[in-house]
Amino acid sequence: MADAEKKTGLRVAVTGATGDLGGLLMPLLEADPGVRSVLALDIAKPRDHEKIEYRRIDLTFHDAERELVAALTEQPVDVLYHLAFLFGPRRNVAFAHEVEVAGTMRVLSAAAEVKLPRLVLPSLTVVYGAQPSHPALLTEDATLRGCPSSRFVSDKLEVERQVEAFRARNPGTNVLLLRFGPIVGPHVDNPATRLLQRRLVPTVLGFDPLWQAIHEDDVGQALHLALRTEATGTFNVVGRGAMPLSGMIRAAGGVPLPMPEPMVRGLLRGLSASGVKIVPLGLLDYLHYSWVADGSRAEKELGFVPRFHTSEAVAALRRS
Amino acid sequence: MAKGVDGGSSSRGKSAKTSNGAGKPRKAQRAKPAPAESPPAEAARPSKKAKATAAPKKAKRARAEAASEESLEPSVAPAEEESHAEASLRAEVEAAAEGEFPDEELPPPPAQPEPEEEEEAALALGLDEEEERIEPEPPRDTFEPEPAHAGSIGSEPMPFAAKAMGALVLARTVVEQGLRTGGLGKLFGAARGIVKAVSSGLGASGSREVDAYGKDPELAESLSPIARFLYERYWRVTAEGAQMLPNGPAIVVANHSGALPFDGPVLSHAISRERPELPEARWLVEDQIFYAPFVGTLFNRLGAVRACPENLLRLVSEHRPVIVFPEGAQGTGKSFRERYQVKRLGRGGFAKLAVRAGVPIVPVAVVGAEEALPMLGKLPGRALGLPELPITPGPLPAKWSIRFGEPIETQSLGWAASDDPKTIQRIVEQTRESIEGMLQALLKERRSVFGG
Repeated sequence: MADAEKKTGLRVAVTGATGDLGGLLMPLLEADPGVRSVLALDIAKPRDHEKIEYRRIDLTFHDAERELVAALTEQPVDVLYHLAFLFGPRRNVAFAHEVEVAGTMRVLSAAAEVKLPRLVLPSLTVVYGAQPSHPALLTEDATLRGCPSSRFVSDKLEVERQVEAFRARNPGTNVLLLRFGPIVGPHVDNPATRLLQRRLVPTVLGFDPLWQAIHEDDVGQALHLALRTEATGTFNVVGRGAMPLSGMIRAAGGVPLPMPEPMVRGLLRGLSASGVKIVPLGLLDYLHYSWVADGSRAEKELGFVPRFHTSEAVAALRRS
Repeated sequence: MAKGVDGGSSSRGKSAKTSNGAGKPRKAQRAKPAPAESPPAEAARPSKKAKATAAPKKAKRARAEAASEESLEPSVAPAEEESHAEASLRAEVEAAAEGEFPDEELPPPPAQPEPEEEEEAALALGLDEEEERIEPEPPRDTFEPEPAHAGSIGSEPMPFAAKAMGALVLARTVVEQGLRTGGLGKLFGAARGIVKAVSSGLGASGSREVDAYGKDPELAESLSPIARFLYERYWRVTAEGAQMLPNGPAIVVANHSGALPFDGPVLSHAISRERPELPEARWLVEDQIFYAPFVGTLFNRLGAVRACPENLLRLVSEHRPVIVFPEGAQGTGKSFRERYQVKRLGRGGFAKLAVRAGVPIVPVAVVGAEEALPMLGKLPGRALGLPELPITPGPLPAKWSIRFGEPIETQSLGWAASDDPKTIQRIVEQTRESIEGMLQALLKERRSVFGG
């Protein structure tokens, strides 16, 4: 890797280059002098830059794997970032499943075929699930419980299982899986930001789970670090510290409204049905129980140190 | 003099009352205000009334005639007092410094600043500039009383708002003084702590700083008056043998009792008091409490940690004493009749982890928790899906006694011993015997439940 960089620079491919995560990574790749070229694979064209070459690939298309293999054989890359994921639950669950699970399957088969040297994928700490039986800090080897009531989380779990299977079958590829905590910032849009940007936030009476958040700049930094690191495996990538949900709501400038659980359920169902932007009912568990991941392994092995504390990350939401 | 004092006491009282708000900062400067207050006050009121009704020019003449500060008391008097005090101070300084610093510029005579201050003060009252040029009075020993009414000079209808403001300022000062000292302050502090605790339990605490386990330091601080009261006065906790606690990490095993598990925080507080050099002891609570709404959240904010192996190992790796209650819900759930019977110490998980981590086990007996929160029964809510609520007549003032026992060393056993059920069983038995022995001893020594 270092040799390749020294000679001519790294060649990088990014799927989902115009998505949330792609949008955080692309500017850093553009500005990185050690990166020679960036192959953007997406359905929409990214911003023009001399390093970026665009190839239109729709991962929901049944033939996407063949197109990917063609693209990667034509221009072999050193690192493939598979960032073509949805930011949050979608009403069209079939489409969501197609993009995330089937799309990942195609990317992984293509990666196996071209014998890709390195692969970087994102995941979310929601895969741990929110259970009262969790330890205070969830480490990477904790059992992934997920959230049976949410297709979004189940899809993410499915992706993780696929990655595990891929690792077992392709030991030659260095696979880095980054589990991000709730990403907050002025340029991202996901259930966490939608919840925290409200003025009045419904919460469950009698419960105040611990949450954490990572600032979007730190997410970009982590993705960028993944370019050159020798580490391999799964890492929790989270901001510093944890806060109770009511504290996060206040830090973001809102007011928590504790209500009995049945009322919260009804309210979320009603609001989602009427199209108001709020966290979907299936993710209610995350408002109920704590789910804080331990980011110390990423610090030790990946060298990732978050610049923002959870409270600072959430405060950035307020200013936006 | 006596007559003046007697006659003036009522008016002094009155003027003192109404002028207290503004008067307090001035008190330092008042040398002999009290006796002389009365006659000028009596004389001032009629003249003030006259002033209020007279036309400005007439008022000026009246003032000139009176040629006394009394008519300008409200605004001038304070200024005069200040300048008088400053003048005397300067005079002293000059006298002291004479000859030492001959080149020093002499401070201006006291008369000069007065007209300016009077001007400003009079401007505030809305009088014309010309009319305020009052000849400075020679400094006198007598001090004028504080203005009885803030707006009584010149400005027209004695504004009710000003009176109300004065009264509010007075009230605020009184409340502040009350809060700062004495029982009222403590009561407010305790009430604030309770409000914060309730809001934390409901899930609306909004606290921005918690540690990794969920403990809220602000809540602990706001509850510290109540905690201190409970520990020192209400429960009169005594702890012996805390020197036995090792300097590094330790697993402190205690008997569990009480309808609500307050033995955890009390034991943690006892360790902080007896061994302040040790890192803060954290205690583990059973799921039945931790999962419960309100109570679970509140205890978590107070510092309770869920009882599971990962948490225990993490706390131990932070070199803390970790308090565990292996009896678990069986300890808190047992009825009052079965008090002080040590139930099965769980499945021996604490012993296994102690051996694995090479950390000593310190048995502790706690007496008093059973009677402080006696479990009289449980509300049968399970059928409705509600958690079983304990019926207890609140925290009673039983006397607590805590005794620490000899630590049980596990380091010599080696890591592999953690898989040997016989070793684990032996350690559990040893711990249990120690706790039961200490409990019996403490119960025998105890003369009465509430008296100790």
